[in-house]
Amino acid sequence: MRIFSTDHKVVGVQYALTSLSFLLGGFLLIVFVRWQLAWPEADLMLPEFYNQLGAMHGTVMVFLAVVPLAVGGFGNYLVPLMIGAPDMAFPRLNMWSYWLYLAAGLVMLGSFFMPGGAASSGWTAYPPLSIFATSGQTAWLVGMFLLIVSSLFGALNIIVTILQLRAPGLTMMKLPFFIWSQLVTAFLLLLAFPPLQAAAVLQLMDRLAGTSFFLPSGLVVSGRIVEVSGGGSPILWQHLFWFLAHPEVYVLILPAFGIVGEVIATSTRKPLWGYRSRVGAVVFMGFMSFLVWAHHMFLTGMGPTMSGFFQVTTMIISVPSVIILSSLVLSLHGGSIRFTVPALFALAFLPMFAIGGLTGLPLGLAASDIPLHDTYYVIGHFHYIVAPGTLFALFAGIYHWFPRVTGRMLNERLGRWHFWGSLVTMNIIFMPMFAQGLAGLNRRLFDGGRTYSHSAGFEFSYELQAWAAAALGLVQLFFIVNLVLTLRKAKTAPANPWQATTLEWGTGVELWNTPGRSANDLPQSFGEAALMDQRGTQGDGCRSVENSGAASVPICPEFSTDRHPSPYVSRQDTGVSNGAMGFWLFIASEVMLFGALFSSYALLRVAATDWPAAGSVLDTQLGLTNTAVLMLLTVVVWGASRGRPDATRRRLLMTSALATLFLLNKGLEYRAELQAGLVPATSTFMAMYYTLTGIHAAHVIGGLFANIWVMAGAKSVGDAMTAGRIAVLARYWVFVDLVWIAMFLGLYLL
Amino acid sequence: MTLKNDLRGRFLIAGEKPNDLRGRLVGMVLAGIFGATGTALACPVCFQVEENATTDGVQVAVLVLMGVTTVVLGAFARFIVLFAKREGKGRVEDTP
Repeated sequence: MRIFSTDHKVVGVQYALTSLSFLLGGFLLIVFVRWQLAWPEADLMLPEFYNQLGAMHGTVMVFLAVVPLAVGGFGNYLVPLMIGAPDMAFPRLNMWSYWLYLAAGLVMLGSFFMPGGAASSGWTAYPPLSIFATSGQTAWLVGMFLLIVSSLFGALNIIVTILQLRAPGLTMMKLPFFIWSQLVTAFLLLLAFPPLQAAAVLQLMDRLAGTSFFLPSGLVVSGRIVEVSGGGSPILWQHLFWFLAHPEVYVLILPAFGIVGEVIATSTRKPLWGYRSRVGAVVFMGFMSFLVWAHHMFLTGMGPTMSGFFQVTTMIISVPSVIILSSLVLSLHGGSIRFTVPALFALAFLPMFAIGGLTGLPLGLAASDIPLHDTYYVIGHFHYIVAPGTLFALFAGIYHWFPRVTGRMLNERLGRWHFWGSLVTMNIIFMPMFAQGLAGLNRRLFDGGRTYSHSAGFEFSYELQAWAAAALGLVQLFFIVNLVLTLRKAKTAPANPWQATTLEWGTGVELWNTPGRSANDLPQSFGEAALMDQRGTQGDGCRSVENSGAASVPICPEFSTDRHPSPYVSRQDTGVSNGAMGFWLFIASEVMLFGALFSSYALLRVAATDWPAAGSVLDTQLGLTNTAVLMLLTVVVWGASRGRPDATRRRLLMTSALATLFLLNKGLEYRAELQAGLVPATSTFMAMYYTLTGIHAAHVIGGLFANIWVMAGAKSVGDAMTAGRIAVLARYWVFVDLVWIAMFLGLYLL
Repeated sequence: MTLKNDLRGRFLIAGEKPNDLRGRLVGMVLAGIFGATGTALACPVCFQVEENATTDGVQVAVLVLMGVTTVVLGAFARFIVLFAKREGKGRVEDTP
C-alpha cells in the first residue's frame, strides 16, 4: 500500500487510522482534566496546563477526530463504492486533503512543546483571551487554517463524486441514505468553514500584526489599560466562529445518521421507513443549519429582534432531527432484529442522541439559555450528541464495515464488552453534568468551582466521573486489542457477512468498474434505495437488470464503460462537467469567505465611533486605476475563452501582464501608505483595508499562477482540455474582479 | 348548484373562491414572531441596553452574512431544481 496514494480506499483508511489515534489522544487529555476536577487539592497540574488540556480536548475531538473519521474515513472509503464510482472525482486533491489534515493535527498537537504550551483559550478560542494567549494559539490558528483547506478539498470531492460519478440509472432518490448524509455534510463543510478561515486570518492579524479586529478600545487586563489601537469587537469572533461551529454540529451528526441508517436496515432485515421524509429532513436540516448560529450569542446583548429570530429558527431546526430519529425508531417495528455488535451500537445511538437533542432545546431559548450558558449542562448536552451519540454511530460503522475493509471479522465477545462498558461509563460521566449545570457549576473552573457554595454536594459526582472516565479508557482496550488480534489473523470473513443490501458489499463492484463487462455482470441484489422503494425501480429505463427477489439495484444497461471521462465533459443529467462543478463549488466557498470578511467590515464600521471619510485616507486615483486594470484583464481573459486557439496564448500572456501590473500598482500603493505611517495597527479601518486587499491580492497571485499553468500545459493536454481550463479561468477572473469592485466601493468610495 | 371537491376535502360551489384562513393565520403568527418579539421577550438578552452601536453592528453583520448565505444556498437550490428537471426528463426519454 503506497503512503502517498490517490486511491480513495487507501485515503479512507489513512483518515480512519489517523483520526482514531487523535480520538484516543484527545480522550486521554480529558482523563487528566477529570482527575484534576475530582481532586483539585492534589495539585496534579497548574491552572494554565488545565486550560490547555480543555482547549485541546475540544479541538482534537471535534476537528481532528470525529469529523475526519465520519467524513474523511467513512466518506472516502464508502461513497465511491456505494455509488459505483471508480474513485473520487479529484483523486489528487483527495490525497492532499489527507496530508493537509495530518499536518494540521501535528501543528496543533506539536504546540504542546512550544514555549508557553498549547492553545489555552478553549476550543472556541474567544478573544480577547486568545489574542493575549501564548504562541500555542498561533499554532492553533495555523493548524485550523490547514484543516479548513483540507476540509474544503474533501467536501468538494465528495459533492462532485456523488453528483457526477453516480452510475447511470442510480438517480438521486435511489441513493442510499448514507450517501445523502455525506452529501449534505459536504455542503455544510464547504460553506461553513470559510467564515472561520476569515476569522482565523483576522485573529492572526491581531496576534501578529498588532491590529484590533477583536479588541475594543479601553480594554483593561490585570488592572491595566492595554495599549492597542482598539475599535474592534470580541463579538465579531463569536459571530464568525459560530457561523461555522453550529453547522459543525450537523457535520458531526449527519454522517452518524447515515451510518446508523445502514446498520439498522441491515440488522432489522427490512428497508428503513420513510426514505423520502428522511432525505427531505436531511436536506432541510442542511439549509436551516446556516440560520441558527447566533443562538450561541444570546449573552452578547445582541438585542431582542435578533435573538427572537434565532430562537425561532433553532426551534424549527429541531423538527427534521425528530423526523430522522422517528424514522429510524419506526424502522425497528416489524423487523427481525439481529443484535450484533454494530446493531447494539446503532440501537444505543437512538436514545443517547435523543437525550442530547432534547436537552438542547432549553439552550435554544434565550430565557433559559442565560442561566445555563457556560455551565456543565451545556457540556452534558453536547457530549450526549457527540460521545454516546456520534461516536456510537462511528463504532457501529467500524464494526459493520470492518470485514469489507480488511476481510476479517472483529471478535463479537470483545465487541460486546466494548459496547456495554462504553455505554455504562459514558452515562456515568455525562448524566451528572445536567445536575451540575442546573446547580450553576461553570464549565471552565480549574477547581471545579470548589470555592463557590453552590458546588457543595457535588464532590462525589466529580470523583465518580473521574473513575468512570478511567474505566471508559480501560474499556477502549477491548476495542484496541480486538483490532490488533483480528488484524493478525488470516482473512476469513465472507464477502458479505451481514447480508447487507448496499452496493459496497457486492462482489460485482469490481466488475462494475471493468470496461467491457455486460449488464449480466452487474450485481443483482444490492441497493438500499431499491430495497426501500421498489416503485422507484420501475419505468426508469433500467430494463436489463431484472428485479430478482426483494431488491435489485436499478442500473441502466447502457452503462458507460468509460468511467474516466475528461473533467471538462458534461454529464448528461447534471448538465455540467466535473471540472465546472468543482470550480463552482470552489467559488461558492470563496463567496462565503469574502461574505464573512464583508460582514466583519459591516460590523466594525457600524459599531465604530470614528471611521475615516471616503477618500480621506486612501488614494482613490490608484484604486480606480487598479479597478480599470482588473476589468480590462477580465475582458481579455473572457475573450481568450471565446477566441481561436492561436489567439488564446497571446491573450493569456496579456492577462498575466495585466495581473502583474495590478500587483505592482497595489505594491506601490502599500509602499506609499506605509511610508505615511499608515500601518495595519493604525486603526480598524487600516487593518480592514490591508486584510481585505491582501487576501484579494493573494487571489490575483493565484490567478496569475493558474494562467501560467494553463499556458504551460496547453500543448500537452490538447485544445479541448485547454479550452475547458480557460473557460474556468475566465470565470475565476470575473469573480476576482467582482470582489475587487465591492472592496473598492467599501474602502475607497463609501 | 354544483358542488366541487377542491382536493382538500372542502365542497365548494363551482367558481366559489375558498375562504382560506391558513395563509392569514401563518402571516399573523410570523408578524407576531418578528414584529412583536421585543415586547414579548421583555428584553431578557439586552441587559437594559436595547440599542447601541455594537448591537446595530452585530445586526448588520448578521444580515450581511445571512444575505450572502441565502444567495449561495439559493444558487444551489436553483441547480437542484434544474438538475431534478433534467433527471426527470432523461428518465421519461429512456422509457421504452
